[in-house]
Amino acid sequence: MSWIDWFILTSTLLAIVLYGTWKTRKNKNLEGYLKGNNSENWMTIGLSIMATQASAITFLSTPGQAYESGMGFIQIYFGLPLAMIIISVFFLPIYYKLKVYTAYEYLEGRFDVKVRSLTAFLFLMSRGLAAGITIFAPAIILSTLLEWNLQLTCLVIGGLVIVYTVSGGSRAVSLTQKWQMAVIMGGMFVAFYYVLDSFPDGVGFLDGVDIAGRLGKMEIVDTSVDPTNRYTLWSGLIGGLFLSLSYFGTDQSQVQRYLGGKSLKASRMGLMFNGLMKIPMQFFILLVGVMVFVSFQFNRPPIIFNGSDATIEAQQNQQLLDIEAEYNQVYELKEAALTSWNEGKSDDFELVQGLQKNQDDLREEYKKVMVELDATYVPEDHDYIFLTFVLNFLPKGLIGLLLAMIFSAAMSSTAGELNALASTTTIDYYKKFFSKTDDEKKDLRVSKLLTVGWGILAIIVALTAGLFDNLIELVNILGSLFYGTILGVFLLAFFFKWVGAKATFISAIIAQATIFVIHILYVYDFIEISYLLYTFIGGIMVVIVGIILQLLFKSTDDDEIILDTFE
Amino acid sequence: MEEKKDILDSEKAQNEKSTNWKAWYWGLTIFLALQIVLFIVISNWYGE
Repeated sequence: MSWIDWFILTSTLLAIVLYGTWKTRKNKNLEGYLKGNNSENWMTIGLSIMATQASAITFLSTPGQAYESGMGFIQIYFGLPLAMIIISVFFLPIYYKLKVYTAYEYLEGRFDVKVRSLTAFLFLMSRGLAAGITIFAPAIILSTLLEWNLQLTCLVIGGLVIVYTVSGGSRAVSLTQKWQMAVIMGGMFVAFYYVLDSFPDGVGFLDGVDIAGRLGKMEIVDTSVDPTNRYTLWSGLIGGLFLSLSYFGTDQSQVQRYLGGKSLKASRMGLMFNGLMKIPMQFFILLVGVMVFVSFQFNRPPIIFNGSDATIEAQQNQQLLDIEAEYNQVYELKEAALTSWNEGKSDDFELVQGLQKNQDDLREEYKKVMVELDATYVPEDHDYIFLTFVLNFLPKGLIGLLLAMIFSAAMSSTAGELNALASTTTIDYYKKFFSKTDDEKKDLRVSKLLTVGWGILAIIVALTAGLFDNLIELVNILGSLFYGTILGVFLLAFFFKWVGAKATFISAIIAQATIFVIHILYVYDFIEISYLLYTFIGGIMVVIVGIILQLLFKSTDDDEIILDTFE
Repeated sequence: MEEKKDILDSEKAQNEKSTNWKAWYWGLTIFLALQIVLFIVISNWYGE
């Protein structure tokens, strides 16, 4: 990396950190620290919601996903706008009316302290570990491709986040996320320009779309009802709705973003902004990936994108060298056939399609042999595709901007998570069970200490993550294991107001235990199920079991429901 | 001071009422439907 890249990278990151710290230096009370004194406008809220969700891995992995499998991944976001409407109509007014700091605080008034503590605990479990992986995932990719020190990269990302999150709290997180989103989107537009620029003369954007379409990358919507297809219109609408409802409606890292709004209207507008912009934004990121795929039709791609991750001895194996030579030969033939087709000299696109398939098969074969030779090699390399393109095709200076984009994305989502973890621990545990007096200064100090504590834990998880083979998937599974139960509790709270605390608490325990059992059966190959369904199953189970239990309990003296508080 | 706060609160409430949220929700739903239709058209275009 050149000095100008280093300069742009460090100055962008430092400017954002200093801006967040400086703007929020006058924070003196707990409300200001955890809710930003309700001063955010709709634009800041909307951008902040989007920045919290979009981690670095989103911008590294999504283009790679499109490169490999096309645009179909967009379907997972189809339920999101509907979830924004439901949250805006049902969830938000209640959170505002009760002036809560955390989503779980509301559950005590609606049910009791047991339900509140259980739900907050489930959130801390799933999100606590995830914060570490939000740091680790981009760090491992950056350290592999740029040969940076992995531990140092984790420390820099985590350390910078701790500085401004501890100093300025929720407002610092929202303010910095606004600028981080600007860097992120600016970086993506620059990358898009250079992807198109890498096409040969005579091949424009529409030609690129046409080539991608003919090679199967523009099949965006799958209307089939095949349950084995992970991404379909229906799984996107139904599964995506449940996932988005649980994430945006009950996950404190998101709830905290819109609770900081200066009015109910500002928060609602922030949610509408997210609902309007999310699908076009994801579409654009996927399109960048598809265009990178087209670019590699005219510029020879490496046979694997995480080659530096594998041992050098393994890559010198004769069998691998033979496969690579054949791969390069197929590429030359395909490039010639494609150029000839594009210039109108041939109308045989089937030849290009056949050679592309050949190339894909050789890539798979190469990876298979790599795994046999080097057990530590991870064959999934799509996270490395976009950054490989950036490092090879972007000019000096702009590589620094793209790296600043990746760091910004990692920092914005980690900051949102640390802020939410600290708020939940402060409000739902410390203030509830340990702080008997209303000492604002002491509460603020404790809240800051908890942010540091969660930050250090996240860095420790990130530093030790390399010890586990598949931690990223493990954390995704962990999240899915708990999300359903949390969502189910909130669905009962909002839509079944006659269901009381005892029924809800027991149904949450039963649903959580059932999800664990389902997962164990899946791990030991007794059943075949996608972990993406856990949220749906868990959520529905809490609701159904809760209703049945409530009907069995009827209303007893110790399980009265106070309706008027919530209506 | 209290009076000023009441005025601000009533302005906020007025502001809230003046927004036609139903139109926003319908608009967002229609925008989603249009995007899905567009994606289906593109998919069919290259799927055949």
